[in-house]
Amino acid sequence: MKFKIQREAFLKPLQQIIGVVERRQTLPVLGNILVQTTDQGLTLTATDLEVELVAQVGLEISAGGETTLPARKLLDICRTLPEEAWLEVQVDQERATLRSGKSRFTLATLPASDFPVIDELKSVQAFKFPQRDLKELIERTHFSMAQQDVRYYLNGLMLELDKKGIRSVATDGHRLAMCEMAAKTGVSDSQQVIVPRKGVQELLRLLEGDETEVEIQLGSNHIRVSTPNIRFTSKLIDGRFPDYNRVMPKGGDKQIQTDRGFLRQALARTSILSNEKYRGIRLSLDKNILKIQAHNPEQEEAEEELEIQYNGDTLEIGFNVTYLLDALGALPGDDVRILLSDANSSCLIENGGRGHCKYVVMPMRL
Amino acid sequence: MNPIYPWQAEQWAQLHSRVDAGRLAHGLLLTGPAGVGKRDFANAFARSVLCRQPTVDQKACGRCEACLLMQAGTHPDLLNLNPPEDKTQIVIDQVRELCRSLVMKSHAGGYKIAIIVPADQMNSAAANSLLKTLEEPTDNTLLILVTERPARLSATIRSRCQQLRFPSPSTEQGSDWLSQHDVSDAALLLRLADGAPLLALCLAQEDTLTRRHDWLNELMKLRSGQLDPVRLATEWSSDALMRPLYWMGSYLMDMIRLTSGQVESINNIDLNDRLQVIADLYSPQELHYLLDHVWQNMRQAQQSSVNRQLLLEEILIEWSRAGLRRRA
Amino acid sequence: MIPTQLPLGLRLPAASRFDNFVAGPNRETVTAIEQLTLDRTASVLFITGAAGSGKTHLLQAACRAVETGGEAAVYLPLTTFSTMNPGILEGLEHYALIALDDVQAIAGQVDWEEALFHLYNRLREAQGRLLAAAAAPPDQLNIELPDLRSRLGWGAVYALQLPDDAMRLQILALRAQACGLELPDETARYLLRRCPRDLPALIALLERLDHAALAAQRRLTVPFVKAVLES
Repeated sequence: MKFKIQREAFLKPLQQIIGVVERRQTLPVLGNILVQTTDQGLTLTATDLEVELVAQVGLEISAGGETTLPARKLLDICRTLPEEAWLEVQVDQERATLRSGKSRFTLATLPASDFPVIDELKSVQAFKFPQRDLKELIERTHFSMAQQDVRYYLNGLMLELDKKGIRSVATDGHRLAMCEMAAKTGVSDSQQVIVPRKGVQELLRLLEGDETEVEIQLGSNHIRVSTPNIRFTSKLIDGRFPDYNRVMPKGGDKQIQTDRGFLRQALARTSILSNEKYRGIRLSLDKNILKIQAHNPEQEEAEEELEIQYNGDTLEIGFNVTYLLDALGALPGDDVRILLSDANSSCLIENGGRGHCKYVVMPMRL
Repeated sequence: MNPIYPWQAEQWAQLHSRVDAGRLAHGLLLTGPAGVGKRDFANAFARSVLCRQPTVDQKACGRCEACLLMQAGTHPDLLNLNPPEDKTQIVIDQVRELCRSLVMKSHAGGYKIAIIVPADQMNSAAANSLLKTLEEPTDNTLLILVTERPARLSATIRSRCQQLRFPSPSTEQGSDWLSQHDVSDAALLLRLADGAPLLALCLAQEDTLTRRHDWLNELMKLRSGQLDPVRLATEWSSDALMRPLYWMGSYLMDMIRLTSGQVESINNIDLNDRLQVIADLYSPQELHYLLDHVWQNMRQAQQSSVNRQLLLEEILIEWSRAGLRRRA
Repeated sequence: MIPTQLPLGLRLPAASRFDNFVAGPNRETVTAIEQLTLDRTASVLFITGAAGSGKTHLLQAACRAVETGGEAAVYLPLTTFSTMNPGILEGLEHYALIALDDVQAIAGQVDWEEALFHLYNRLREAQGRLLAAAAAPPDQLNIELPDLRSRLGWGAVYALQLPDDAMRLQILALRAQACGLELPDETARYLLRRCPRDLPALIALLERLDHAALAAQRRLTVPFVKAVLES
C-alpha cells in the first residue's frame, strides 16, 4: 500500500474517529485503526467492539492494500507535522513507513484480518433525516438515560419510528424525557431500538447543527448513521423498552405557566442550599405565586418567591431539583407549562407552544 | 486450528447435538482435573459455533473472517474472562464489563459467548454479579465456565449451569497421545500427572523429570543437616511456578502411601527406593502434618500474592525440624 | 426524615398471549380457545373458573390471536361496563370475535341480559364468534332471561383449574421476565410461601416490588423483599 496525503486531509478524519479508540487496550489491534484503500481513496475505521466509526478520505492511491496502524501514534505524528505538510505512507509487510520532508517514521502494523468490522446491516429500515433534527432529538433527552442500572434496557436511548416520525425517549426510572419530530420514515409498523449510552454520546459528538441530511439505518442488531463525512455504527441493547405512554400524566388539574429562564434561574439559586446528596427542594403553590424552598443538613436555608400564572388550589410538593433543572435546560422556547395533580404524582413539563418535547418528573417525599 | 483431544469426542458430540436441537443451555460448566484440556475444548467449541463455514464434522474452518478474528482474539462475540495478569482473582469490575457487553445484541447476529477460566477464581462479589446474567441472559447468550474445582463455586451458580464432565482419559489413550507428541517416558509422566495428558506433556517440556531428582536430593540433605533451610528457600523461590513445592507435596503423598503399604499406587515410581528411605525417618502423623502444611501454603500462594521466600522458609524449616524432633 | 424519590410507574408492555400462558392441566381448554380463534364460523365457547385461574389472560390472548390473523376482535370486561347503559353493545356484531369477561356482573340486570341476548343473535347471523367467561357456568349465574342462559350454554363449557405451586412459580417467573424484572428463585419461593395464594394478589405484589426495586434501585433479594413487605 502506498499513498501521499496532505496533513490536514488526514488529521481531521483521524480526530473524528479517534474517540472510540480506548487508551488502555488489552487487545493491541483495537488500539489501531484500519486503513483500507478504495477506488476513491482511503477508508479509516476505528472500533471499541461496540461503536464503530468509519471516515472516507478522497485521494489518489499509488498502490492499494489494507493494514492497521497504531491510532494515537499516527494522530500524534500528523498533529505535530508542520501545517500543510505532505505525508507519504508506504506499507511493506509488518512495517509502515511515513515520510514527510526530512522526517521519517517507521510504525509497526497488525494484519487487517485481525480487525473486526461490522458488515452491511441485515433487514434494514433506512431513511434520511436532517442532522440538526437528529442532534436535537438526542440533546433534548439523553440526560435522562440511566447509568449502570440493573434494568439494562434503561441504560440507553430509545428511538422509535412510526409512519409519522421519529421519537426519542430516555428514563432512569425517576424521570423521563421524550422528544418527537415529524419525518417521512417510510415504515409501516412502529419500530423501537435502544441505543446504548456510549453510542449515544459518540453520536452526539459527531452530529453538526446544520440541515444536511444523514442516512439512518436500523438493522436487527445495529443502528447506523451516515453523515457526509463519517459513518457511525453502534450495537443495540438486546431488550424491550418500558411502555412510556403509561407514565405520561393524564389530566393534572393544576397548571403553572411561566417564563422558562426565570424559573430556571430561581431554581438554580435555591438549589445552592439544598442537601447535596438528595438535592430536594420544596415547591409551594398558591394563586399566582410559586415559593421555592431548600435547606441543607447545616441548617442553611434558601427561599424565593416567583410570580407565575396559576389559578389552582394550594399545593406543596418536593422534587429533586437536578431533574427539574435538566428538563428546563433542555426544553426549547421561552415559556414553560407545568402540569401537576398532587404531591405523590408525576409532573409534566412541556412547552406552551411547540409541543414536541415532554419531561415527566416524579416528586420526592421531603 | 482448534483440535479437540481424542478423549473429548463424546462431550463434543453431545454439545453439538444440543446446539442442533436448539437445547443448548445458557450456562455450561466444564469440570474435570487439571491438564485434560477443558479450556481448549471450550475454545474449540466456541469457535465451531461462531465459524461461518464449519466443516462437516462441525469444527471451525480456521479460514473464514470469523475464525481469523477469533485467532486474533478480537471477535466481538467471543469474550474471555480470566484473572488479570499478576492477579489470582477475577474481580467484580471484569464481570460487570462482561455483563454489560452481553446485554448488547451480537456483532454477527449469532451467539454471544463468554468463556470464564478458572471460574472458581471469581471472588464472591464477582460471582454474585454474574448470577443475574446466568439467570436471565439475553437471547443467544452462552456462558462457558471452566473449573477443576467446581465445589468452590456457589451452589446458585452451579445450579444454573449444565455440567459437562471431563475425566482423565484412559492410560492407553493418554500414552498414545503423548507418544504422538514425541514424549518418551509417557507412562511415568502420565502417572506423575495423575493421568492428565496435557499436564504430562507440560512436565516433559519443562524438564521437570530430571529436576525432580535434584529437589528430592536437596530435601534429603536438608534433613541430614547438610543444607540450610533459608538458603534452600532462596534457591527454590526463584522458580516462578513454585514447582518444588508441588513436588514436595507429591513426594509426601507417596511417602504416606509407602508407610501404609500401598506401594503400587505411588506416582513417583522411579523414586520409590529413595522415598522409602526418607519415609522411614518420619512418623505417619508427621507426614500428614507436613502434607497439610504444604497444601495449605500452596493454596495461599495461588489465591494471593505472598512472599514466596518466607513461605518456603517456613515449610522447609518444618521439614527439617520434623525429622529432628523424632530423633530427639 | 430522609427524603425519598418516588419512581415512575414504568412497566414493560406485558402482553397476554397463548404462548405465555402456563397451561398445566388446562391444556384442553387452551386448545379449544385457540381453535375458536382459528375457525371462521359462528361459534360460542364459555369458560369458568375461580379468580386467578387465567380467564382474563385467555380472553385477551384470543383477541390478540384474532387480530394477528387480520380480523377485528374486542375484549369487554363487563364489571367495568355493567354500571353503564347496555347500549354500548350496539353494533358490535361486526367484530369477528367478542370476548366477554365477568359475565356474572350483569346477571340479574334485565336490560343488560336482553342487550346481550340480542347481540348474541346478531353476532350469530354475522358468523361472529363469542368467547365468554364467568365465575360459574351459565346455568348457575342467576341469569333471569332463560333464552340467554340457554344460548350461552350452547357451545362447550370448560372449567379452568387453579394453578398449583409449581405453575405459580412458573407464572411469577414469566411475569417478572415480561416486566424485565430479575426475580431470583429464592425470592419467588419466598413470595409463594409468605403471601396470599391467589394469583392476582401475587401479581399485584410483584408489581409493588417492581415499583419498590425501581425506587430504591435495588435487586429483588429476599431481604429486600422482606423489608418492602414489612414496610
